[in-house]
Amino acid sequence: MKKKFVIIILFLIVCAGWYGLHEYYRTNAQTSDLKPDIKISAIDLYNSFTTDETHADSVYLNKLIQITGKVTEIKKDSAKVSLLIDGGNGMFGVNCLLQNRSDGEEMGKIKKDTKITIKGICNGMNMDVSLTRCVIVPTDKK
Amino acid sequence: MKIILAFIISMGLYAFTPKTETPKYFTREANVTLLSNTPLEKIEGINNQVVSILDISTGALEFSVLMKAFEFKKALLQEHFNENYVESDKFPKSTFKGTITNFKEVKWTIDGEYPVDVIGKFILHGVTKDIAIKGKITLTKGVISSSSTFNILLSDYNISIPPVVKDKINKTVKIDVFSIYKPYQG
Repeated sequence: MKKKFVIIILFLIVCAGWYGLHEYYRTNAQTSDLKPDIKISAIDLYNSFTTDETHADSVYLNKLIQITGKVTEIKKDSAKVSLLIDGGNGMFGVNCLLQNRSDGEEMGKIKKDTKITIKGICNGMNMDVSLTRCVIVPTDKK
Repeated sequence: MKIILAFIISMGLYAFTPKTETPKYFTREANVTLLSNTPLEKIEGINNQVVSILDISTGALEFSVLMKAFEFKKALLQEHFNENYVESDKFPKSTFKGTITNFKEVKWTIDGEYPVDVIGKFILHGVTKDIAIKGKITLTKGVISSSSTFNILLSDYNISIPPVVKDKINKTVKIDVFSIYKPYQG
């Protein structure tokens, strides 16, 4: 009886340890595997932030947002790729930082002034609306 | 004859006068990196969506940083950073508004490296502090970039480290800032 008890305690300790380590080394989930919380056009998303930032924060912050809009700027360097999606207001829009630099290969197919669909986590507004951990949504999965 | 000569000279002067461009420069993808280094753990958070505006006619320099846009390799660190340390729901932005005091020493049209002194108000975690930092303005083929590295003491900004992780998080955090600007068409 006592032996059984010790084994159960040991088992629980191992489980807790495994869980702790797993949590400690956990990386951010790949956005491509996640379902968007909200689907909206880039212009509507931008407008809701310029109209009432506090309200927009309460709706979109920390959520996975899927937006569709026109690419106005493509920025690539050795470490990262980001896209600016038109917010219907000339200079500003939705600033999307891609989760994986390797998605840059996809970028060959993406041209300025074409429409794309992209999903990412909304961080709020900093002149542009900010999305990070973005992935481009293939046309057949919209 | 004199009139023609004066005309030619004035035309020449006009041609060699630098075109008056907008004095404001802008970027939406400046980088801010936070680094806390202890023997037990090296923590690095990167934000690639920092907005910065530079006015070369006055030396005014501004940065605006969304705290939630910092990315860490470990998801748990990112969650703790937002929830326990900078409390990004309560204080979503960190900003710096200041001036390059020696901006007249920078030759904004000649390639080179120019050390600069910057003073201004830094807001983090709802706390405003006057800071003075050293940085560098670099001109490469006419493109303006700025960089700076400075340290902040977390306790200055009311960010407390729980005793249980005090060996893993340095009380002083190193901040690296790097921006490449383009002319602002506002």
